[in-house]
Amino acid sequence: MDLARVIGNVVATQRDPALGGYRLAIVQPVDSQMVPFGPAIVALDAMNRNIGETVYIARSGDAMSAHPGNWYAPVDCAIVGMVDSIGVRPEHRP
Amino acid sequence: MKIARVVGTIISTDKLPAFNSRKLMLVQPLNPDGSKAGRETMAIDYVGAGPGDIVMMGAAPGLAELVFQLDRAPINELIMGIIDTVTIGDKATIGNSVR
Repeated sequence: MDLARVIGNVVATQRDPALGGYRLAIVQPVDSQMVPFGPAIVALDAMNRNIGETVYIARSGDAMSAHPGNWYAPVDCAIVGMVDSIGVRPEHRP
Repeated sequence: MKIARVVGTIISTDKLPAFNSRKLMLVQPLNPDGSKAGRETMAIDYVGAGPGDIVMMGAAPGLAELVFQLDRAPINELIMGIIDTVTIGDKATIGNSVR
């Protein structure tokens, strides 16, 4: 799981029916100081987060369980929670 | 399983039900010599680790479902042990009992 910031939306009308009508978001993985790393990716957003919010994402096969409807869904990245606050000791900041 | 240091905690109220009453930790993966290995990531702790602890952390599809006995859990990394010592050759490198 990684921290990420929601930076955009994806509209995809023609999609696998197993995905359902859920929102797809573009998320940018960040570290605890909000410094981006790696590519921005598409994530299933069943929690309806807004652009600019800090969230955490699950990846790989486990992300499938974040789909509220289907047991199997073609998802490999999903928003699973929203971050209220991050506590890091000063000596452990990157 | 990876060696990592717990560097912080995450407070989150709006989350999927599988995360209810679980401890969300921010972890920094480490090399066996104690240097940083890649970026910070997040893990669920169920063994009682706290910030500053050296732990082992791992992920496998379906692992969290088995550990927490849930039907569905979108959880990747788990902290499954607190490391006392890591020894390379005959030299103790990192661990909670290594100074």
